[in-house]
Amino acid sequence: MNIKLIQFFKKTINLNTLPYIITFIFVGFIKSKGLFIYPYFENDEGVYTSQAWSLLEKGELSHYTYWYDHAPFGWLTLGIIIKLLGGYFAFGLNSIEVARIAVLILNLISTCLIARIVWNITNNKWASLFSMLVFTLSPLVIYHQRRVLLDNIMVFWLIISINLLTEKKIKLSHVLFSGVFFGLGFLSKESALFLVPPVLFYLWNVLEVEQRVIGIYLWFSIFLSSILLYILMAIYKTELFPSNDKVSLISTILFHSKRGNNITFYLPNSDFMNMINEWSKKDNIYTYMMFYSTILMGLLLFFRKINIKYKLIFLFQIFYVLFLIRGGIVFEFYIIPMFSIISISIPLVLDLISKFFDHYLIHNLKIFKYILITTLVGVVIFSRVDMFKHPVIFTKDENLNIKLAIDWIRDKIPADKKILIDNSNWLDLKKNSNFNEYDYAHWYWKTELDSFVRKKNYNSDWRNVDYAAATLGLYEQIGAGAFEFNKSVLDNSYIVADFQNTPNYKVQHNIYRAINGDWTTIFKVDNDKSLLDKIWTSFKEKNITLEGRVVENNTNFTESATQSEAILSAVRYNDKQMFDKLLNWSNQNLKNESKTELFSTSWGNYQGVNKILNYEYSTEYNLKYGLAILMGFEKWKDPIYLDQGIKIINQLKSTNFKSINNKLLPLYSNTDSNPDAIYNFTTSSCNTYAMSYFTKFQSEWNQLKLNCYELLKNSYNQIDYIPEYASLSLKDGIWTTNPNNKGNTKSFNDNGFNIYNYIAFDQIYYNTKESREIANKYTIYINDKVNKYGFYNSSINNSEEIIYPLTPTLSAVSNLLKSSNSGLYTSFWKNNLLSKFNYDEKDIIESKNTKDSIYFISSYLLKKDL
Amino acid sequence: MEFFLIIFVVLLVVQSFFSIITMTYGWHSKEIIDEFKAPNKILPPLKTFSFLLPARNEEAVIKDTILSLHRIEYPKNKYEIIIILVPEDQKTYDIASETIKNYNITNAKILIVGSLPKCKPHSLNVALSSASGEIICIIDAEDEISTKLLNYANTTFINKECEVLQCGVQLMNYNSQWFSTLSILEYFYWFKSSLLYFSKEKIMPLGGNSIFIKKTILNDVGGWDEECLTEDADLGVRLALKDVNISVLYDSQSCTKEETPENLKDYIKQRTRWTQGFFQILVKGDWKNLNTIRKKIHALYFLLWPIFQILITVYFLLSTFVFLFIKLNLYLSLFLAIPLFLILIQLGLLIIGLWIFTKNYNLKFYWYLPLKIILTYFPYQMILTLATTRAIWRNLMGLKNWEKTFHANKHRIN
Repeated sequence: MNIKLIQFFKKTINLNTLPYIITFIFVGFIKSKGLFIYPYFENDEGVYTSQAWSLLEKGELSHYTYWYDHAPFGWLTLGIIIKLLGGYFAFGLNSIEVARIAVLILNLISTCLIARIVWNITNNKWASLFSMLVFTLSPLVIYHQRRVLLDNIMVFWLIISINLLTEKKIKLSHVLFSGVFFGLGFLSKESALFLVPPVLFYLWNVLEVEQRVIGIYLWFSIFLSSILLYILMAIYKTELFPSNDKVSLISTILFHSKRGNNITFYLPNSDFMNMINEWSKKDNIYTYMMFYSTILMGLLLFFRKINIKYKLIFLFQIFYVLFLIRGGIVFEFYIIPMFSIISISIPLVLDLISKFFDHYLIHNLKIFKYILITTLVGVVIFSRVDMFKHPVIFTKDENLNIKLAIDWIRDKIPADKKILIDNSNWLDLKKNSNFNEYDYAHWYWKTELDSFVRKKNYNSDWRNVDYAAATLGLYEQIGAGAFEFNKSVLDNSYIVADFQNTPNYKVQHNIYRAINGDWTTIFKVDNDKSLLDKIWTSFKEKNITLEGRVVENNTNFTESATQSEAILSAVRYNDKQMFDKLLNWSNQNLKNESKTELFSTSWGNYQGVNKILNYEYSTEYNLKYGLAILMGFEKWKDPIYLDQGIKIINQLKSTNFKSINNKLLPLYSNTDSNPDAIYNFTTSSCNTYAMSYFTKFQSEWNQLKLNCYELLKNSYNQIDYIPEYASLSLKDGIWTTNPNNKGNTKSFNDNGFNIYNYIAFDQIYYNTKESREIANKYTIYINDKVNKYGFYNSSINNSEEIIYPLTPTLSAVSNLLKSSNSGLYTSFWKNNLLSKFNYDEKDIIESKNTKDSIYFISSYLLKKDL
Repeated sequence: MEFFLIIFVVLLVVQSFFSIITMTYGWHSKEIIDEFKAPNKILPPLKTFSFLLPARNEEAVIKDTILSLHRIEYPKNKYEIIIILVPEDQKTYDIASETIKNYNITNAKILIVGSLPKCKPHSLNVALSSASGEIICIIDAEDEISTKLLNYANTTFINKECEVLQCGVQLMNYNSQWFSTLSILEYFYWFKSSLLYFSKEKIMPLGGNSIFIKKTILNDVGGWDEECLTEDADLGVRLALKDVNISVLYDSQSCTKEETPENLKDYIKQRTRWTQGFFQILVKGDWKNLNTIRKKIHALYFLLWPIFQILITVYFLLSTFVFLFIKLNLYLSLFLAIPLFLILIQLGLLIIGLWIFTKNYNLKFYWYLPLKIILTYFPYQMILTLATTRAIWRNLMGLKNWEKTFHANKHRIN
């Protein structure tokens, strides 16, 4: 055995083959080192790998409805190689990694065949060796060659075809099989079609006169058969012509033909120029070499003495560039076939230079040939040095986060959950029997565009999705404004795990934007009470003492504002135990007089003594106490609550409302502060929702509510929105928004945010005309702000400088929007409120700010209609 | 059912693909084109030839055939014409002897073969013993011989040192019958291309005429098989057993012109005979003794050729039936369609072949001929299927008599 092996090596390795073997090992190393870590697993890679699985394992053209995006031979090729490698999870790798090995194999064979083509045409070993380097030494080339893309598979078949066409002595069998392989190239990726004219031109010129007609016919008829086979497939499936309820080949062709921005290729922002920018970012020199050399190729075509085989390659380059500048869509990976063409054409040009010198210069001057060619080759190779100085292609791990995300999903998410995923995770999450198999995980793309998938799996409702594993592909589509369903899912989600490790940039979840794909973020769709349960439990643990006192995190005091909101939340959350605890503590500690039914504003430790710090009975918070306690009665039917609730609202009427111009209006508190006959109202004392609620117990609250709305109307008529204050001069009846009737201000500093809650709740639960009017007007205002600034700036000073609002304000505004504009509500919830917590479940739950937490809970309860 | 369908389609795909390769082999490379062309430089006439011209009831054509042999540009003392007749065919005898006398054809003689069996191979065997030429050439009674034929043959025998030379035969009446276009194209591709392929493989069925064989070789293999209905093809197999050097020459200048039978009945008879003859060779089994597997496969391929033609008809009928009545899965349906593509490619080749044929022979390429080819393709396959079926039936019935084909001299109209 060993002797045989030694004999084989002796036979194979000689001075002729050694340079090839060394070069092959070198390019093989460059192509494969870092194969699994760079670049990031792209959605399309998953598409073709999954489709290969589907075709070979299930006998179906695609894992979803096949829609003729491409002919299936590319993924058939891929699937066969993967099978030979041992399956989709061979060697303990994930499916994309195995598929990348398959593509690497094709690419290495293509590399050898490219060298052979150059050898066939030039008879020049150095040119042939050089072609292998050109086909490898570029970050741009490596970036795309490693990917599981149909273009790489198409290139493999086309290279075989071209190899046959450029045989030293061309025979009809070469032509025939070249047609077969070209057809397979077309059935792998349709852009092969654009390279047909050069082949026909070449055959016309290269074949003997007697062979010409039969040769061209053979090649073309076999190639045409591949197209017809594709069409026949559509006919068999009755999917050739467009119809309303089915995919069709013609519809897809029309769809593809209309893609792209249709800006002429040389203009800025054309698809082509955009891609030139993208390509040059990865390899500036290589990109411009590709396109500028095409002009040279065009000129060389006019030299009659140049062999037709050279011209075939030059024509390929010209025609492929024509394809790229045709005006339709250009994707970044469309450049892949250019790599193979340029890898042949550039060595051919060098060979022509060499032959030119050989032919026209006397022997002594041939040194110039070597100097020139060495210089040119040297420039090309030297320009590659950067690739090794900053070897991202070998060392940058763009897939670690993606793999961690998959591990996280397997670890944390039950297999029966419905997850929107990138297609690069499809096989690994759904068909890897070593782990949970997520039968209800679906590719976000099909979920969006295939109404059948959306309807069947999610009943076309985002609420039926549990999780979304967001990737660059998804963000790009949402960013393009095309994926409404997916956007709804994310709009109504929060982050539960964020896998990104990007030192130079951060994924912008608020606007769904990222510039690279080396991350995955898991969103939990906000479609159940689980988050609410977690926040409420956490809030109780962090912010409420065992006695039932809500502690402000910054002062350690207790404020009736937060205490009353907590009681209201407890009743809405149906937590009677906590309700009682909070109420008992309030009853025992916030009443400074034995007879009063109302609660004081704040309580805390002052100079070592726990006591009431502010004795005022705030109208606003006592209304909330009354509301919470009466709601408690309705919910739990305990007459004690009814008794206390009625007492509170009775006392409020008598002490906190004052008749002004024959109308009872709510003062800030029980203290009458109108020495100059100027009344200052805080608008948030107008808890019209509570008043609507009280009407069922005492009808006069309806009138009080209407009085409040009139007050609000008087105030917001002065400016665009409800201000914090409304000030009335009894003397002249003038309403202003500055306290003490000192003119109007646009200033709004978060203190009055609750007025929006009250209007929102009144609108949502009682749908009053007055609340609706205010809600609609305010929505217009918010919309303007969002359009103007990209986000809502509720807290503004008088000169409208942007001040970032506090969470309670955002919570209130979001509640108001829920009552008036569901679309704006969703995005506002996401981009303004959730962004305060970095969209992250953990940040929400672990928030230390008492007010932030309780008002988020309040909004969340409203979101869940609780 | 699906398994058999797959086997059937695989067979048909292999056959069709192989058929395309053989059909185009004549244009395969510059070397092939040059190799089988008539030689540019004619060498001095060193070889001597004996034409064996078996004829029976060929009074309509015999005169022209003798005259065409007489017109050959080669020293008359270097070739002889042996017209082989049966005693009861007085009319042909009269015309032949009259032609010899009237045109003073000194190198022609008539040989009457009365012994049994009365068949072409027996006549040839009898004539062989009286032939004086170094090289024997068999000619059919209706053949129109190129005047340059012997110069080309002489040059080729010297240049290539071959022992057997098959020259081209071409049916010429390309537009006389509905089936004649496809029939002449079959000949065109066979002699222009397929035969070249088989000669390269060193196993080929020889044609019935325009075949040159060294007399020593013929004697060596024992002449023609008198039992066989296609003695020429049988001879080809037996020569392959001896590994003799066979060369092929096809050129419109040197081609022997023939005609396709005048009517469908005769045509079917002719095809039946050929098929029956091929089956006889198959059963006889000489091919099994060929020295390589490759040769055996090739021999088997052309001996089974009539069966492959049945496959095409069966394919058309079966695929139509399946398309209309059976719901197959997508992949099987597409797989079933592949032979159709290959057949369509062959159909295109036939049209191109006709264009080349008319160009080579200075004939008119009528605009409707491609349409005619397309329309008659399937009926033509049906005729071939009928002939094959008939041959099988005749074999089973033990009917081995020679069904004579009438010749009307239509190939000489121009």
